Amino acid sequence: MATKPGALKVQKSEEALRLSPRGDLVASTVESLRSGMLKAIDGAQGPVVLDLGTARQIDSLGITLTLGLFKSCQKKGIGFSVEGVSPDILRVFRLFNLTRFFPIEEAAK
Amino acid sequence: MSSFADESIISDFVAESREHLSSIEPDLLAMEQDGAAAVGEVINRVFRAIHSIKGGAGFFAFENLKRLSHAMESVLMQVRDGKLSVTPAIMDVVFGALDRLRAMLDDIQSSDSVPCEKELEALKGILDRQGVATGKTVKAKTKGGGPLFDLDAEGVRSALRRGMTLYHAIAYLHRDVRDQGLTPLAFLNNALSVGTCLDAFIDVMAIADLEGCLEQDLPVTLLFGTVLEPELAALALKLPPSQLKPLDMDALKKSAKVADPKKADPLQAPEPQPVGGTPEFSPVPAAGGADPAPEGSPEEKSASKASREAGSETLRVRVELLTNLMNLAGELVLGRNQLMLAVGDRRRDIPGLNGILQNLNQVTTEMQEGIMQTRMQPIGMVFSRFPRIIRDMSRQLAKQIEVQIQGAEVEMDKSIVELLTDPLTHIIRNCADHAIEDPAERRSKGKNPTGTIYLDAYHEGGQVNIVIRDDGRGIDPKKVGAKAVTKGLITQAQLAEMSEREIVNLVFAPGFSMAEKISDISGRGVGMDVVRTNTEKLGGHVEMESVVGQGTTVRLQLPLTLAIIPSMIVGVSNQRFAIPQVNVVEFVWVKASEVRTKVERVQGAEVLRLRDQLLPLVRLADALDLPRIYVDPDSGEAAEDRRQSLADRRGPGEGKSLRAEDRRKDWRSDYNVVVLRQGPNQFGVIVDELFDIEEIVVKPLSSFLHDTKCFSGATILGDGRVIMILDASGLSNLAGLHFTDLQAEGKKRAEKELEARALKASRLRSVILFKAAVGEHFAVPQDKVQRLERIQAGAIERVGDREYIDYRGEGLPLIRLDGVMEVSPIAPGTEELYVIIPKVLGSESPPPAGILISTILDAVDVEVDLKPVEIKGPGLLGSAMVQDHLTLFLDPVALAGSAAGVAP
Amino acid sequence: MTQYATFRVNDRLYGTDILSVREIIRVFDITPVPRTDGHIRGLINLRGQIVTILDLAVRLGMDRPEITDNSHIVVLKTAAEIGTALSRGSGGPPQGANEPVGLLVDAISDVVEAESGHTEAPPANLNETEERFLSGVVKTDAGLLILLNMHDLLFSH
Repeated sequence: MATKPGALKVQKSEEALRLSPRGDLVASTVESLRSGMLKAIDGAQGPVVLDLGTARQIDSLGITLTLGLFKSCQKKGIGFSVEGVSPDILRVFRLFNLTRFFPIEEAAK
Repeated sequence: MSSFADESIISDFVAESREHLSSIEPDLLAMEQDGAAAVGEVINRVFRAIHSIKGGAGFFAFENLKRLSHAMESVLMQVRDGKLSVTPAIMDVVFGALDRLRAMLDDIQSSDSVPCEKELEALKGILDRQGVATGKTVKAKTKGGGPLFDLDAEGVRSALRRGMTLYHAIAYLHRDVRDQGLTPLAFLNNALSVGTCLDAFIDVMAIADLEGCLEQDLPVTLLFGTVLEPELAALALKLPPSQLKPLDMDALKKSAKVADPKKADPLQAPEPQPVGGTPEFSPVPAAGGADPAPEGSPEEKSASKASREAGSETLRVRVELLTNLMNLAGELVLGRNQLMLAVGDRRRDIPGLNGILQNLNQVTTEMQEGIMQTRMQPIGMVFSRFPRIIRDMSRQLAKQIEVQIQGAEVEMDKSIVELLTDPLTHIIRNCADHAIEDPAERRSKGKNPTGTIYLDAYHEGGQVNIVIRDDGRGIDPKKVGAKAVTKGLITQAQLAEMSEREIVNLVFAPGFSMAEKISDISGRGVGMDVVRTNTEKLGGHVEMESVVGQGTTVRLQLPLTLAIIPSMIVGVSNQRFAIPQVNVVEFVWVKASEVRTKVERVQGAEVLRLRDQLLPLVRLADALDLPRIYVDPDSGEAAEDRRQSLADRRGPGEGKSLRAEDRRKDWRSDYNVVVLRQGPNQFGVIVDELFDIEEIVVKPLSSFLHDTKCFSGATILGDGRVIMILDASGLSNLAGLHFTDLQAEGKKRAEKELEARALKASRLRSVILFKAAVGEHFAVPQDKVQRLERIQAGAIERVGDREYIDYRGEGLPLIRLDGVMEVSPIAPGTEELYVIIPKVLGSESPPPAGILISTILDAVDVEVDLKPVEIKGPGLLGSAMVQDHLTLFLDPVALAGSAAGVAP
Repeated sequence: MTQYATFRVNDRLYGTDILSVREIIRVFDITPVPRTDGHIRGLINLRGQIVTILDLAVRLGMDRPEITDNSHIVVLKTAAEIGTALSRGSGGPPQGANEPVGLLVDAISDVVEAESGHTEAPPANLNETEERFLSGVVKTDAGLLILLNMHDLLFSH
């Protein structure tokens, strides 16, 4: 089944709550992703993993969204990490020194 | 909305950084050469370039690039601040690091995997020896605020020393960057043009949580150092003044001092004098380019001014875009031509149409030229690499070599400039490696121990000449010749026929390598032949001249542009082809009646005898495997010609030769020969028809046509037809032309001819014809006659048996021919007589005697075979028929000598 | 469903995915290229772009056809236009994948739709000299449609 960009796949497991947005984190997708994320982390107990495996691009709103999610997790006192980051997006994160706030894992090559 | 990871921003950064690197290379070389005397502006330029690369690398989070440029910056800072004097060893490290940076930029995406530990270690080693603590940090904060930044202590100190104020600047990505129409990189570059950026990161604390995050404009925090006052700084950064807060400089100074107690506070203690008394530099980038120019030579000032101006007036455009524009322009030209054709004679019917068409015509042409211009690049792009290459090589080879460049501004098409890089690099390396002697050897030869390589580019006749000259040991034609024979490139016999210049140019032959020992640097067997191949691929040619002991000159001749070239359109077998005019030497029309005398066969191949040269001929139809076609001029009918070669119609067999006779009377047997140049060689191509010369737009050959060696591209003609562009070297290879054989043959013939001429000359005599008695004709060679004296019979005086005349105040004995040989006497009573005064060796001594004759007939050039005569006499050479008379040839000198000998 | 552009060569019906076709044009002014492979028919000027024309009949091992009023050129999309390289496996698009190329055919025919699953292996009795250029056959109302293996057809030597 095809998913549109902006859709959010939510997988709960014993270890973590895995959020996998479909496609890029850009202006056109952030709104719907945010509502999906808000719903998903409501009442979350374990750590949250943002899986950016299908994202190739991120713009300033995408960064804001990622940081918002991080801050929300921080408030709840649960862990937050980002996975499956493409080299381009990793560069953006590094540039903004986001690596000092939460773990960021590069996509496997 | 653009993402920050936008590829084009990164590629802009890469392109800019590369330009930085290549632009500072000459500066670095100047620093090394001038040492402590290097002017501040030069060092500042280098520093700024590396600094801006560091800034961008940090911004885009290219870790490796950032670390290495940072370390370089620190070392350069030491140099700039006069604490470190430049030595070749230090420059080795800096150049090494520069190459690493370049390697990283070459593939920026994998820049983190480029190893640079060695370079970092070396740079760190320099810094350690300088006592610069790497990795010490300083805490900085705004007045009244908490610690904000962890800073590199050395960086802060340097900024402070230069009188900078550090600011905490906040730029909102949406409002201050995106809404200003800037990319983050453009924003950062602008900042770096007015100051230095010590750190940059995003302020995470500004975001509360997921709920309200998207409505939040994200601030980027910069730690920014500049000499500007706060209001000006804000203006320069295009930020509202409220977003720019000065740091607490007092606290910063203190903490910088505390952080490294070994160093005195630079603001309180006097600055250590820079090495060699270099003056303190004015602060690096000043406001808006209105830089109070620091000490520096006028050239440097103008150079930096020029680069600033260039920065504001140029625009980076993708080559792809230009190529596309050029194609479109080509299409427009085609459209115009078709329009002109379609409108034809009716253009006068619509008022004003003619003017419009002419205007369109003009604009189209100008636009095409304009677009061509955009692809032009200065040859200096290639030249500028060489000082560095030579610098490294001279270090490695322990030689002293200088590079002198002229004509770096000469422009050529980008593709040519790029394709030239390899051949030129090869030549330059050869110069340094083989040609220039080591200093001791040069000294012993009485040369300047420093060798020089001159690079010169200039326009000539619509082409660009590039000359690479060195003052090294030169190339010994004997060695080259011997080697070429050993390698089997030519035979000993061929070698004997070659001129020194030709022999020297053998170094361009495939498989020839002159290096006596295989060095690290060049000479692995491939080499100069690649230079020639590449040059010819570009439609140019290369030649070498050398004087042993004095140096070598390599001359490359190249077209200005590859994209649009004037070409001769020729027709063969009802197809048209283009030949680039640069390859065309001349056009020769051999009339059918002359074919027999002018075209002959040498070793089975047709050759044209042209001005004492033997020109190999290629029949284009045969070379291209097309049927030979003859078009009847009257009916216009085309017919295939089934004769296989010229030999067929010369061959024996009655039928054939009859037909050949017919042919020879026919205009169709005329040869249209286009003489092509290919390197030093020339050859003729026989075509059916010649059309105009057209400016054609070269389109590259499709790779589906990979097998065809005889074409260099294709083009679309004005009438919309696609035609192929012939490649001269491919054609000559295809036809299997053996130029050396032919040259040898040509030389042999020329020599034979010379001999024959000499022989003929030896038989040719200028003689004076005369008579003594009425019916007998005599001749004397003119070159043995000093004078002819006309006398009256009465002037002859007699003394005994002897007769005399008065000649120059002395008595000159006279000889009558009938007195010394069996010939008839002069008729008595002849009043008017002549005396032949023979030439004598040594003009001082008087002639021994004169020969008395009656009539002078003529002075003529005759070609004779003298036959012996039956009569005997002194000085009698023989006889021959001259002007239908039997004529006796005399040697007047011998005759007069013998007669005088018998005189008392 | 896949749509196939179909055309005739030597009275056989051939086809290729319509997504790989840029346009179909009438034959005009083909400039022959001397001394090249026999299946290279020549070059044409298509609105300022030089397009290499392959002679499909010759490529498939048949005789060089005469050009008639029915002859057409099927201009294929380049790898960049299709969006994916035609190459299979590694190594990126083959040399020439982004150069415009057209196929000379005897006549064009209809667009045929077929379920992707209905393709069969080419039967052995096709008597094609160059079976390597065929990828399969589909039975259609108009007869047997032979599908071309465009990658090998264009790029294998």
